[in-house]
Amino acid sequence: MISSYVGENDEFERQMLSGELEVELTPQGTLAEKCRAAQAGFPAFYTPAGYGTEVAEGKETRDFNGKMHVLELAYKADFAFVKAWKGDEAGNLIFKGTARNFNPLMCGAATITVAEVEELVPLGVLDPNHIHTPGIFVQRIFQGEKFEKRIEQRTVRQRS
Amino acid sequence: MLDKNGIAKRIAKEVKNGYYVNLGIGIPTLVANFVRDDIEVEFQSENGVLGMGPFPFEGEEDADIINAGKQTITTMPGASFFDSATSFSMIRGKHVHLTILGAMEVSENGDIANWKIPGKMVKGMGGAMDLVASADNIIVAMMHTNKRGESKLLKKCSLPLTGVGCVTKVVTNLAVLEIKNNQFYLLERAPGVSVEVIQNATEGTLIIEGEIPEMDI
Repeated sequence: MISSYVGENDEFERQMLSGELEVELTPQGTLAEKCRAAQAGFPAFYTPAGYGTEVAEGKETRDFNGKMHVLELAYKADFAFVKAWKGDEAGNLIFKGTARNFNPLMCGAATITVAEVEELVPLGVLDPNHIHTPGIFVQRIFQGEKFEKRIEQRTVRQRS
Repeated sequence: MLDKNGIAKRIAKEVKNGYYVNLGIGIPTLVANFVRDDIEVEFQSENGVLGMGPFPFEGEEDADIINAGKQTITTMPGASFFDSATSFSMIRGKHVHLTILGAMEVSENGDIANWKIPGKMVKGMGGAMDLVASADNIIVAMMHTNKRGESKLLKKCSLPLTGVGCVTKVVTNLAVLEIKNNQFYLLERAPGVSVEVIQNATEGTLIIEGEIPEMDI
């Protein structure tokens, strides 16, 4: 499992600490860029994130303009599973709000990208100006049957 | 001595007109509540939103609009959503002016540890390593000592590092300190807190030059 932030997932933490699950924790921006690099055909890139920490152990480092950087490899997977708000039969995707996050970067960072959408529409319905991820990066698409959107931290303010 | 809101209130004074600001989880999140309302500031959350607003009213929460701490939020007019690579382009590319984050330990040479307690806590570093490695202007918000009363301002961090030589300013419940020349410089005291109390709570090298003023908050 390669992950950046697992937050309040107690079961994950238990599995990791007991050694049941092999985990590689990666800085969030580095994880995003590893996916993007795979999508874009770059084998690797340099980032300052993690220099001098255990994340950089065993990795090549290099000075650019007086600042140390760590060489990180692209992360190409066999399958990418993403979730979008709307999609069409060409595989074009539109995401909603902060649910965009890693999704557009993982599309095409795998041999087969599978997209689940809340609403699957016929060709021509989505405005090409509004597409976040072009269908070329998506090989499979389907409309999910039921979406239960759980909120991990429900924070509200009082009406005055 | 300050409480968490007091620390946030003091840090809010560091936020200037026109700033893009990234706020970490915990005390840093509270800073938004104390920023003067006559200046324009945009808050960035690294999960993919710029122009973050206050928490939503009850019944208006949207599971698809959250901050990096997974809290439901709202957006301000002029806000934008984006993917994680774009988000960290803003951070790595130094487009964000100020980063405020919490810490478990800070050392006198500006190292910070805030992501892992070996064998105990593994939530992951999230965006913290990217933030501390890239930002020029980092303020750490934390309590001066841990729950056992031990100093969190050290000669050398004992926990796994998040970044090296990156912290320039620390605001605690006791003091405002600047880090330079591998030393902590005492800038301000919290209301009612003596220099002696701060000295005793600081394990790292503390430089006290002249009369140390009380914080104006």
